[in-house]
Amino acid sequence: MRRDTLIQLLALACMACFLAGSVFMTTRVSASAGRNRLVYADAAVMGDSPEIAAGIAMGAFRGVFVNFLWMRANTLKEEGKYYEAVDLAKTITRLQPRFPRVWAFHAWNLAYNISVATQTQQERWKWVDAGIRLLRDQGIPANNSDILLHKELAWIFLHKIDGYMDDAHRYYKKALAYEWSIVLGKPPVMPLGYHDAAAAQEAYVEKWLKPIADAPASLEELYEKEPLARELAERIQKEAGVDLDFRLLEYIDMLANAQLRASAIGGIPNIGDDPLVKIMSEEKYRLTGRELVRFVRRKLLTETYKMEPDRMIRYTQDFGPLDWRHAAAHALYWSRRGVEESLRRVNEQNKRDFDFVNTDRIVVQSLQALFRSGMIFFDTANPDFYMAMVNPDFLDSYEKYRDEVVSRAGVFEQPGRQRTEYREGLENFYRDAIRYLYRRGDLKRAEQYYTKLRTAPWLNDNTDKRAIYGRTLADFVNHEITDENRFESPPVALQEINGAFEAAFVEGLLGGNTPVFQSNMEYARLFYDKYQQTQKFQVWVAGKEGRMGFPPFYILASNVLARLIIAADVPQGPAMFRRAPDELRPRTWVLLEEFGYPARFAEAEKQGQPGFKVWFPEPSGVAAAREEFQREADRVKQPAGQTELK
Amino acid sequence: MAQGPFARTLDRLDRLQHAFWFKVIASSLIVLAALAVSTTYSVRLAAKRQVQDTEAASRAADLRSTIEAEQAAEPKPGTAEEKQAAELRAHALAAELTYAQANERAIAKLLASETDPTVVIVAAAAISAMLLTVVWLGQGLSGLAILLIVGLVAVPLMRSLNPTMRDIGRFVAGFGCLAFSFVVLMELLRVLLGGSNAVLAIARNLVNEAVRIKVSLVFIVLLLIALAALPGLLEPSTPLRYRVQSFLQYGSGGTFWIIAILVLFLSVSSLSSEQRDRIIWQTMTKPVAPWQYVLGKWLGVVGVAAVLLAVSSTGVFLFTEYLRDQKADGESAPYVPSDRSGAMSQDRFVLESQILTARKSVRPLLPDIDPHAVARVVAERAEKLRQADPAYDFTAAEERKLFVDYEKEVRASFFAIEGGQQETFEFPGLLEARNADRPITLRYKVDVGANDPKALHKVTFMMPNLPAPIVKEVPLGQMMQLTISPASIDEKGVLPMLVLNGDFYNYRPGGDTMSFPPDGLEINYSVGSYQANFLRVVLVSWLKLALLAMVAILASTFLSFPVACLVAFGVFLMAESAGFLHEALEYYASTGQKGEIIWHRVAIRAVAVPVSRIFQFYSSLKPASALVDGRIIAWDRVLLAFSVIGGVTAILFISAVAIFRRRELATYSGQ
Repeated sequence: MRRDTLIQLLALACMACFLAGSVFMTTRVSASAGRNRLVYADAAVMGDSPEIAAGIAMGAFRGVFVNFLWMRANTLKEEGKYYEAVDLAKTITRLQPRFPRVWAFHAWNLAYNISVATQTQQERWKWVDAGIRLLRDQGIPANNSDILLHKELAWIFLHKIDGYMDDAHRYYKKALAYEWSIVLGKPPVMPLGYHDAAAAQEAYVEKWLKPIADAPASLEELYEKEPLARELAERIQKEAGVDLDFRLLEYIDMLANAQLRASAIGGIPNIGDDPLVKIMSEEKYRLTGRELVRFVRRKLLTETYKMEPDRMIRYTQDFGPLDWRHAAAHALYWSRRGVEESLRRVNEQNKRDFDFVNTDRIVVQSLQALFRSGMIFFDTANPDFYMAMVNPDFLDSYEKYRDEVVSRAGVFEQPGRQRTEYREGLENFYRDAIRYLYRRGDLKRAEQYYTKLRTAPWLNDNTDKRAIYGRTLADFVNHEITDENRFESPPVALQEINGAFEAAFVEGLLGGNTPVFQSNMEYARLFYDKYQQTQKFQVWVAGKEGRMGFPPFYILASNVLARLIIAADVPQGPAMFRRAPDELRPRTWVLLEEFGYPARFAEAEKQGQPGFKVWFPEPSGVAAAREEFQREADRVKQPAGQTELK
Repeated sequence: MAQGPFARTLDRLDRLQHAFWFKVIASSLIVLAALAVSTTYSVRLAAKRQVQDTEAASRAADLRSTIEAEQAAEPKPGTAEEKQAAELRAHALAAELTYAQANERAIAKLLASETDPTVVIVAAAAISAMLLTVVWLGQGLSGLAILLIVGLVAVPLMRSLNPTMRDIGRFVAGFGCLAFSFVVLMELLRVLLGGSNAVLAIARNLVNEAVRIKVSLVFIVLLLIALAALPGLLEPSTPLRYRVQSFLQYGSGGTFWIIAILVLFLSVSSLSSEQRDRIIWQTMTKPVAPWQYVLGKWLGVVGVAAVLLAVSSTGVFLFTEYLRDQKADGESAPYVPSDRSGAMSQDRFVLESQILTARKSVRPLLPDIDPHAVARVVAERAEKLRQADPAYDFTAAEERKLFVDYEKEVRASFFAIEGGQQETFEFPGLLEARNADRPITLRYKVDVGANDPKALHKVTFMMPNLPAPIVKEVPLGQMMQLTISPASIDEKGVLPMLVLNGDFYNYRPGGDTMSFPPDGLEINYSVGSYQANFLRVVLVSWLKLALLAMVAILASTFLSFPVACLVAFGVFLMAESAGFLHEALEYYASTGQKGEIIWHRVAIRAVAVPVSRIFQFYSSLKPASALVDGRIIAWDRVLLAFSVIGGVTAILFISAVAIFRRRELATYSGQ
């Protein structure tokens, strides 16, 4: 055999071996890719960015290139080098837009890893927001029905922003509340003392969301509906120099706040020369201007934030008055949307998918979060003040939705299981609800929930719990309060009392809900008395009378109120002060002076603006309050080592 | 043939730009302009510095008076307990003052970079040198015309209201300037290689070839386009420090790769095409020795590489300085923090103290290991192994392995802290950092269990003079940074740092054990300027290119164009990825969990391990990465690189010459 023939035969044999190997390997690689959902976009569809087509055009080299980028992204992340993070995330997600884990990985990286590596809260928020935007504005639109992405996005809202794990969580909450106050406008003001969930739901839908949902969807539609809109839009852009986007809404909000502050004290707002005010206050634009603002809100909501106004309305009707300035409202929106989109293609196989079950859980957890803190006190006029209170409007929807998801959870919630997440969650939820309703004075509903708790089927064979839940409602709440050694530690006791005070002042005074104010004050008093008694008993045993005692009840309460007023500032602070009862007002006034709060108005007063005494007129009984404080100070000085109240 | 009026004018202008008196006048004007710019700028900066000094002095005075007021407000101690408390408080206030003053001094030093005229003077000198070169090459008017044309196209575009047109305008201006600089420097290179020596003649020919052949021209144009377009790709919303780092990474790292590919192509193409097309006959039949031929080719390639590197590096350097003068996050104007209470925004602080600088690193002191104890443990372990396997052979190599394993264990346990526990680490040799009064940076990486990517861990750091413990929430397995004041370093230059595994303010005993990996705890401090480091980085990059050029030349002395390309590129890729390969091999064992041999891995390791070792030094030189991280490449490192790479290049050169000498290059080998 000739040498050349031998080489050719050898080459042929090699080729056959490699081909066989290739077939074998390709099958395995494809199977693995399928299992791990490693999907490349192999066809560009309408609306895809040009990069997707470019990625497809790279053909087989795309995989190699993407691998290289992944390795680089991971290495840089481990080395704490984040300068390329956004660029790499963009490039990878553009090359693999239909691979959900890519979006999830990068969003997580931005929101969790990079954010904590920065030093300032503003910058932290920027990265958290970047993670949210990556998923919400790009990832989900590219994978509309993927449940993993919905779950990840909802989790960032619920855990990163609404949770307490991150040191900067307060800043995130305020930033989100500010952003959504601008996008949707401030939520409708409910009548003072409202406690009707249905009325709130209706107001939120009719006065807040519906006008936006019904706004024109495009500029052309707006121009057709409002002939003056084109002229107005052009004038706003040319004369005020603002585009029809977030900045316009922010500008309008800023002007409205200035007007509000001025009108609150009866002065004349000094914003008449502002070009935007001049344009918008022209009579001919009165209706057109309103329509234009609604159009901008809708455009922002649908095009930038990729949210559907109709879905927001539906969820508000289904779950309760969702305050979109609250992170849990967004968590609920995206998790519920993920579940709904996935339900269309649910089958026996993906029913057991953890992503599916976990997303359902986030809906439930969001409802829980909305119950615990869904009532927000926030105003863009004073964005430093943010308070979140319990919102009982979500009590019923939690239960309702919980039943729905249990029926869907399959093996994870089988009755035979010793411990299931929803069961434990429901039990805790009932206990919170009962305590809260009791504190609020709503004994009827508290009794209803207590009945549900004590008759829960899973308690049948739990004798310990049956013993606890066998008490009367009052005994049960008393047990809940006195349990967990709450009276042994002054900080814990103080925390409980302060919590009741805050609810009384914010939800009661600021929210104008007198029954809530009263019931919370009573609860605080109950707890205070109980603590003082326990302490008296303990110090009697220890032989050091008064060592851990609190100051008199109203001094304690006025301390909390004064601090809240300073934090809330104008206009919420004066509102709380005016509505405070006579026992609190003089003491609070004295403390505001003590804390140096009047100095905050000194500069404004020099410029002819209202001063401290305009916002906080001196109430009667200030002299007596001063004497009381003096007596208390003398009492504290006498024995050494007394507890200092901070 | 009679010339038209236009051609005659051009002819006259050409004579004019070659006239000696024209060159003298033009040079004088250029020098005067450079002096005027430098002086005016320096005077402006001096005035600014004065304002900065006044502000710094006022801040320092405010600080002192605040703390003194606090001290004065302290109640007079009565009882012994109160006295003790007052002493503690006084100590804390003194520490606070020391710490704050050190921070203030450190910030003042960082702010000094804003008013440092060196950059402007260097830039003015570089531009003047470029223009003088143009003038003395007799191209003064041509150069001016080219710059005018670029300006006429770019300026109106840059002033357009349309952002896309503005971007195009910037690109045209950038590309024009880079192309102009390239042409001028290439001309200068030709002049430098203008001697009658055979080596220089061959080098000169190669330089001409570089702009003539398509393959290199494509890369030159690509390089200029990429550099001009790069600034436009930076996301303006990202923090300034990240923009600077991205630009440095792509600007210096990316251009190195493009030039490296060009160098490989140019070298291989030049040598192999001359052999293939028999052009080499004309050279080798002249009195030219093979060494002269090889050296000439190499000189030409490294000359072109130097020109390209000079153009791209100058562009990168000047644009980085431009970026530095942009508004950072948290600033209302460049160098002016939005929050007037602080002297510097965080973004600016990190940029100046950690990126645009040259930092050295120090790792903590490791525990002393008692040799007797080690010997005892090693003996015990060997005994256990012998009991388990009677055939176990306790050789010297085995003893060494046991020793290394034990040492690793001791160190790992030193860097591990149980939940709720604390450990003190001492960083020695920081006297220079203390005296320099510049902020220092702690780089740390925390590992907990298998490093759950979704988990965050709380760690507390405490150091002398620190007003309060610092609690950080850290993602696992990722390098984090923490800025530390030099006030925490003691007189001996030691920084003792206490690390608590947990949250100091919300202390709970127990919890997961955390550990720092061997490279996961170090202190970085500035020891030099970023500008000088940049120069060294460029030098090291050029040295690497010089080696690559010789590799490609060696390959083309005996291989055809495609094969030589494959070999040269293979070597380049292997050399660049050797670091990654080295790390990857640590996790790529040739034995399975039960000790069984995995044969295909053995085969792969047999190739990969030598490759990773051969190119270890080359891959450890990461000039772009050092620049991006603000790490110093010291002169001794440059010298070492020069020796090692120079030595290897010399060996490759000798090999190339030897191969060339053995080949019968001037023999007709066609059909």
